[in-house]
Amino acid sequence: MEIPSYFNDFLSAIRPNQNEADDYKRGYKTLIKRLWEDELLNKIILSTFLQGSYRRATAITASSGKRADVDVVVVTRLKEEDYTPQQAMNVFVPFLEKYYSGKYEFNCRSIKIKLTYVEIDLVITSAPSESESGILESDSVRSEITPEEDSDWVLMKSWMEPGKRQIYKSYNFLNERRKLTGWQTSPLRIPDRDLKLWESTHPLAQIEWTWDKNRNTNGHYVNVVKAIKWWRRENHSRIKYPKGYPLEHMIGDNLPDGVNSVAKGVTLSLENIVSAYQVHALLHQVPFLSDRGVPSHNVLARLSADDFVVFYESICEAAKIARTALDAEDLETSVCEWQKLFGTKKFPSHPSQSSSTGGYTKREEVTQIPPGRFA
Amino acid sequence: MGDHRQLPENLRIARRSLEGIHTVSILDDWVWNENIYSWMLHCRLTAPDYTEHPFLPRMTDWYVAASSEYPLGSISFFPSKNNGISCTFQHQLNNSKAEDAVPWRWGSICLDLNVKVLGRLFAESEPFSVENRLVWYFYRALNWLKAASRGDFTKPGEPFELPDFATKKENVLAFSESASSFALWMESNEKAGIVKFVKIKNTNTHVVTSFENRMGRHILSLDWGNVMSRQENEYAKGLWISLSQMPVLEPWQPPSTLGELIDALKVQDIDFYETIKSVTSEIRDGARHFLLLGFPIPSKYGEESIRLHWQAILLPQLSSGSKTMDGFRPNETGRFLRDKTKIIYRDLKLDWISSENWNKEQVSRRGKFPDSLSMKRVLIIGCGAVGSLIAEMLVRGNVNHLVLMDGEQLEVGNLVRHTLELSDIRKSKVQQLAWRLNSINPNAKINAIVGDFPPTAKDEIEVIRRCDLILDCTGDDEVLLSLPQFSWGGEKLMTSINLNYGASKAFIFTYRGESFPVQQYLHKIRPHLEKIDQVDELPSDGIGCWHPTFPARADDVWLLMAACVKYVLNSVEKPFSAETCRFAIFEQVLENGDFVGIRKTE
Repeated sequence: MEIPSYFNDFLSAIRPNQNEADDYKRGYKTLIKRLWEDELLNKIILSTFLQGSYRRATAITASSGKRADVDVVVVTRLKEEDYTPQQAMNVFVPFLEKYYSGKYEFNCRSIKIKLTYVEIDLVITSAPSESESGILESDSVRSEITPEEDSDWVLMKSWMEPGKRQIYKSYNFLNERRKLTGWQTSPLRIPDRDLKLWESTHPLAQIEWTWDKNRNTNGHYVNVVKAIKWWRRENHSRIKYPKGYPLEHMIGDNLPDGVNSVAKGVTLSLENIVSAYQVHALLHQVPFLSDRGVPSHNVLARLSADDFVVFYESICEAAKIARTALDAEDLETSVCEWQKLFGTKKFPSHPSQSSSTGGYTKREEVTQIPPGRFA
Repeated sequence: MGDHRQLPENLRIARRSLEGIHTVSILDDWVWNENIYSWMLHCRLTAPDYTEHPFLPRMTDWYVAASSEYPLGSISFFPSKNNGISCTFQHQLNNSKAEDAVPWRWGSICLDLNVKVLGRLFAESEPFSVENRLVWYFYRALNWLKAASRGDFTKPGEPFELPDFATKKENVLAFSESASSFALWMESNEKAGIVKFVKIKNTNTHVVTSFENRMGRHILSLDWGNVMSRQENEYAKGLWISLSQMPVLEPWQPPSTLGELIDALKVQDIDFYETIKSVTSEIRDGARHFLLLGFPIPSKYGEESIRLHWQAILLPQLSSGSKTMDGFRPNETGRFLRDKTKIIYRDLKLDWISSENWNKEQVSRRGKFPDSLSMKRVLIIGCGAVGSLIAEMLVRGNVNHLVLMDGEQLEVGNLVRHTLELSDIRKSKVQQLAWRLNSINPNAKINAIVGDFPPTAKDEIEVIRRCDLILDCTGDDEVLLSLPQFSWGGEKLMTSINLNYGASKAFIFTYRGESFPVQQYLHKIRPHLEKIDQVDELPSDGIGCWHPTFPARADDVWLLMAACVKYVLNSVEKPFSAETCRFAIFEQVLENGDFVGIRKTE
């Protein structure tokens, strides 16, 4: 059974809660405000925007004790011809020392800022060309709207935030976008300190792809991703990788368009992964999943073959359970099976199962009052 | 109260309980609506055992409203504007309104326990548990759809219910119709005329007092209680039209515009404008007037009609004075034409007024004495605690003819157990009481005689002699001795009711005969009267005023007087032989100082 009610409540429970959302937004907004106010930096910054699973609405609530993890991109005018990767990152050191002294560290491709309430992954990039500065500075890129909100967001220079639109004018951005072809932006260049090279990255393409896929799957794509991510986390002792974006990407490749429930989406995604990578698993090989905006990159590049095989076997088991749950014709069995995948903490229980959700107890005797009382 | 944007866990649980019901599918999850301060669930229902119906598709969409306090609070089913019911059925509020900025219509369906045709589900009463309450409502809604599609609401034997005219409830139009007045109407050939009203002061209630035909000839006057003839009341008049059946748009929707009404009347061969043309001249005074539509209604579907029901519409001001149709003189013709085009035109939204039948039998349905008592003319001598209470119980129970007699004024100390109030102090007890009782029952005719028994004025004596049930509620020795000396003029049921000191006992003596047998009375009561030795124990009404009174609290008095009223009823229903007397004592029974009941000794 698809039990959409149960899935709705499950998803509400695993989405980042209001506190997390407040935290990551505060961290992000404070950082970019400071960046834009910095006298030295604001001359070289072209644009800043939110990326990552919060932007794409594919994030699940942080594990207990962990902070929200937010990803921020800064697009600079620093030309890769003029700056080495290390030099590019060093430009930000005075700023970091001023505001985040003792709290930041350099990773190979980003700067990690650890605050008490949030962790920020700051990615310094370089714009590929001046001609794209227009769109990179536009509302479309800098918007915080996620695919879970009812919005006509598209990656286009002309897209406007709803607050700026004129009331009496009608806008049809989706239509306009359909008429254009290809990516509206080129990949950004990102400095890799370890490799001492500038590499390409295309977060905007990932974002745009997510929006399109979500629209093609009746809004269920981001929820299927969240559900399967949760499944992995429930089984994290066995399945360490892939997680995060690579897992999301794999689901995106294997979820068929047009699904009309999360339950179906989960089942079909798992089953499709089983059939798509069966040969890879047999041959002990990691599949090549092309990055949305940089096709030459393999999203699974860092995944080891051993980890992949372990992952694949778990997916096979999960697919069987999902299918049983989906095909079950009575409610209690179906709920029971879904709980085998997602655990019992967040996926609601059938009322006949005792006290595992919400703390309510059955009080039939007290709530059924016999008739015959008048006044 | 809770944060209204955060969906309460209880509503999630309730919604999950709907999973698995194949005839219910949820279209949108709970959404908060500030307009009606509720959470709305958009869903689709499939009618079980569906029978093809012109106004009801097999699948209909609904918006279900629940409160944040669920499982407490109300639950309502509103038809969705898209793919929902757009007309009105029986057991549904008027569904014609759909202008607001919400995606549903306001004709919610009636699912409560009173609608017996929806069956008994989940035991006899509404379950209030989180898991079950919403589901219970959904099952009843599905049953409603089944019943509506099969026409079960109107199958023979089902109680007849008037449609929801969607009136604003502040105004009431009261009339009086019964089986006997129905016969009169059926005989008369009159189709329209003038109706006269009384407007009760300090209320928004208009009461019909008489009907005339078009020519002004009297047809029918209604016999109301004294409250309708008070000087302070206002008078009004309006128009009436008699119809052969209720004007509704299928299946059960009252017309909302004049055009719809005109069309509904045309089906009955009544030409609206032609019919009222002859009487509109009577209401051209610049004020708004009522139009009453009369139609016969049955008690149950499939049965013969038993009485007329009048439903009122408040018309806009008709043309008067110099206002007339362009190009016409300011006469009836010109004014009527102007009315037809500008005032009472087809698109006019009808202002329906709440209309009720205040006929004696109707108004007292919830609790009335049988005719054997209610038809009696009752005399109550003494309107203190005992008299005022008995009078009130009788009047509320449909006993409409009372004569009250008392010479005293009300004092503040009386209020502990009297039915009157502060505004009645230092006024005649009996006049204030008569006013109050007339205000309680629209059919009550309560007369007041100010003074002590026996009466001296000729008309007072006449009034008293016409009574058949005499209640002495004085506890006064002089009155007692005067009773046998009065010439009663026939056989009466004589009763004397007293309380003892402290109101732990009540004594009730009854006798059927032409006089009051004082000796027999004293013989019966003497052994039970307690001596009160300490005179200064008698509470008085304050320094400087030695007016002995007796202690008795309201709950004691009311308890015993209710028992006495039942005894009187008993005496009237099962008359004992004439010239015999009966004597009973009602006593409060205490066990270890706790009240456990009342005991009767004869």
